[in-house]
Parts: sequence; structure tokens; C-alpha cells
Amino acid sequence: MNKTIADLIAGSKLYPVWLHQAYYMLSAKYKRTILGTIWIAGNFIASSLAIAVVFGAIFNQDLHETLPYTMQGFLMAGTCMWIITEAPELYVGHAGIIKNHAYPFTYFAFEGVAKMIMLFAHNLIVFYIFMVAMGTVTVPLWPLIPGLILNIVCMLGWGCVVGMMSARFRDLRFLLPSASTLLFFLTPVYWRAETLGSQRWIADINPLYHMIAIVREPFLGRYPAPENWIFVSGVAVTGIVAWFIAFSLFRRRIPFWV
Amino acid sequence: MRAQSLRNAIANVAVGGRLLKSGNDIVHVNALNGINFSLNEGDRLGIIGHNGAGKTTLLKVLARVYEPDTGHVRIDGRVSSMIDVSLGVDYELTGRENLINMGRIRGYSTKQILQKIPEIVEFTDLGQFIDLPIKTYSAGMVTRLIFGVATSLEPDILLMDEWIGAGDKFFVEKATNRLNEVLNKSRIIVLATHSWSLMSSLCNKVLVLNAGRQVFFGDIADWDEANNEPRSKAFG
Repeated sequence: MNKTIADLIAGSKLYPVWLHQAYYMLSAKYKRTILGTIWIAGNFIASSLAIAVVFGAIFNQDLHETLPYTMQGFLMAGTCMWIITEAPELYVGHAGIIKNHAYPFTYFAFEGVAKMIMLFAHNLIVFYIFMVAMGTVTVPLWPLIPGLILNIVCMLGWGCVVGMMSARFRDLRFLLPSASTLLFFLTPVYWRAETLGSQRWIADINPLYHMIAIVREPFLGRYPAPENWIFVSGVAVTGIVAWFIAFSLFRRRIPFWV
Repeated sequence: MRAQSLRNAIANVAVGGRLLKSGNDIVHVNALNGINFSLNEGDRLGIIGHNGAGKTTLLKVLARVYEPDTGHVRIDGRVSSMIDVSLGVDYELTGRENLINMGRIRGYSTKQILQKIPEIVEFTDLGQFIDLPIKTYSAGMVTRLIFGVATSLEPDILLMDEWIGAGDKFFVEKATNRLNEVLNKSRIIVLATHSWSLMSSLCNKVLVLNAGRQVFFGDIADWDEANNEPRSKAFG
């Protein structure tokens, strides 16, 4: 039990290593390109332009409302869905290191989440460039900070659990990333929960919706709803509990699984 | 080993665990058993045994990669594992960038690494190649670079799985000298090898493994390698 906590402490103490590695992982593949790390934002710029064209030019929606909402939605969905898109590879993907070096197992989660937060921060610049161009810049509200922190806790906790489960049950490595597409379309990312009418519960029981909303709303100058806080706190707390149980029981099995 | 699939796990639950548990497809590998030894400052331990005897597994237990199922391991000091020396190598980066990266991933600060770089560069004899991407290197040059990093660490406890050799005939001598230097700096060395001559020149203690069991542990003088038995019954 105390080894689980010791792992967490050792993992967090390695912050110079995982911060460096996270940045390195993000930037390494853009070596020897002309635009370099600007390419990190490439996908996000393309999706944002697509939204602008589809919703603005084709559906004639008011982009001043739609674009900030949708861009933030994409940004947060991409960040939070790390839990099912990339976390399944958390331990399997680092098998070479795990089998030969005694890194704390939380290290890999820190590294992965740090990478996503850097990506988020990087794309945030793109978001504000678009906002300036549209003239829709709003000052973010303070709940943004606790909201982001809660999301990070969710990602760390559940990321470790998903990483372990996918190392043990290899099918999850493929099942979860596939399921992420389904989840993405079921979540009010580029559409609004209100449009569901009587079937709104589909959005309301979706933890991803609340994880997105808790950060997106402050960015758009609104306060998150109380149920956003309740849901995300719930995901964070259950994540910590699940992490603690999974790590206490099976952490030392990871080198044999990967 | 049970097949790592959800289907089997669900099938297992569905049939109350009988299907797989009573079948023959779970094979447990008991890699090590009854290992008991302690090393003090200055000890150089050689581990010998046949293929599959558990040498590397034991090193990995010492490196804290594997936790023992029963019993415990107590280690004081910084352990440096030379089991996988190529950790953090990226062929797209230049030699110099790789030095920094490999140092970072091993937990050294950029400042500490920058201090060591001139020494490593000089040792590797790479000259101007150090600023070229290492995918332009020959295999021997990459080995030199990795060897340079691996031997610039200053561990308390050094774990080695077989002797690492590097480079052409001019470099081998240099490499051997450098490795000896590192060995002298380390407080404790654990070396797994098949080479008895290497072991007898380097080690003062020997641990003999056979099929995961500890056959002998003690002074190297008390093990009779030729007859594969302890010289003194007291250690048997």
C-alpha cells in the first residue's frame, strides 16, 4: 500500500524528466520540417477552418457563437479523451523501458498528461488567434483553473488504470480507441446539449461532456453548471480510488504484462 | 501464461474459471527460488549459470524492475543498470543532442550533462560526427556513443548483463580501460556472464544459479568451476 504512494511520489519527483520528455515527444517528429512545432497545431487549425466553413458558410450559423464553442469543444475533447485514445498504450508503448529500468509507473502517466497539457496550451494560442480574427475574445473566468486541475487528476488516475488494464487485456488497446470515436459523436462537442430536448440525459450522464464543459464554459466567459462540478469531481475521486486499488494490487505485475 | 484477451477472461468468468484453470494453458514460470545473499561495499559479484538459469531475472530484481513474490530485497544507493544501455537513443537527433537526451532520461539535469559532454565527446573519438544525426553513423560509432554515456554515469551499484564490448580494435582497449575506471568507482558491481575467465579476473564473490535456484554463494576461491561444485562443504 505505501509502495503505491511511494510510486506516486517518485513519479512526481521526476518532473524534470517527464516535462522534458513530454516536450521532446511532441516536438521530435517535426524535426527538419520548415514550420517545426507549428505543425502540432496543424490538425486543430484544419478542424477549426472546417467548422467555420461547414457551420458558417454552409449552414449559415452565427460563427461568433458557434466557433468559440466548437473550437474549445475540440480542444478539451482531444485532451480529455487521451484516457481512451492514448492511455491504452501507456505501459505497452513503454515496454522497453519498463522491462529494463525501474521507473515509477506513475511516471508514464505524468509524461503522457504533461504532453496533452502542452498540446492544449499550444493549441490555445491558435484558439485566441481565431478569436481575435472573429472579434470574439472573452476574458476567461477563474473556474478554469480548478476545472483544469480536476481534469488532470481524472486523466492521471484513469490513465494509469486504463494503461494497466490494456496491458493485461490486450483487446482494450484496440477497443478503447475505436470507442473514442463513438464517444466523441455522442458528446456535445460541436452540437449543443439543449438540442437533444427530452433526450438530454444522453449528454447529462456523459462524463466527457462535463469534463469538457468545466473548462469550456469559463473560456467562453460563463460559469460551469453545478452538475459539471459534481460529475467531474466524481470522475476524479473514482479515478483516484481505482488507481489506488489497481496499483496496490497489480502494479508490480506490469513488467510481466507488457 | 494465460492468453491476454478479454474473450478468455469473460469465458473464464462464464464457466466459473474451470475451463482455463483446469486446462493446460496456464504455465507459471518460477524464475527464481530460494535466493539469499548480501553484498557489502567493495564487493564484485559474478553470477553464473546456464541459459535460462535466471541470471538476467536476478539482475532485474536487483534493478527493482521485478518485485519478488515472496521475500524482500534491500538496496541502499543509486543502482545503474547496464542491462539496456541504449535507453533514449533517437536516430534523428545529432550525437550531441542524443547525449543530452540520454542523460535527461536517466535523471541527470541538463547542467550535469553539459559538464560531462566534452569528456564524453573526447572519449568517443567521433570528431565532427558528434554534430550530425546519428542515423549517419556506422553501427560501431553508435555503439561508441552509447558506451560513452553508459560509462559516464557514476553509480553506487552497477549491474551488468554480459560484458559490453564496443567498436574496432583501437577502441576496444580504450573501452576496456574506461569500463575498468567505472568499475573502480562503483561501490558494488553485479555482473552476469558465461565467461569464467572474465569473472575470475574481476569478481571476488560468485553466485551460481541452476534452474532458478541458488546453488552456491560465496568467495570466488571457494567455487570449483572445473568440477562445478563448491570446494568447501561449509558453503554447500
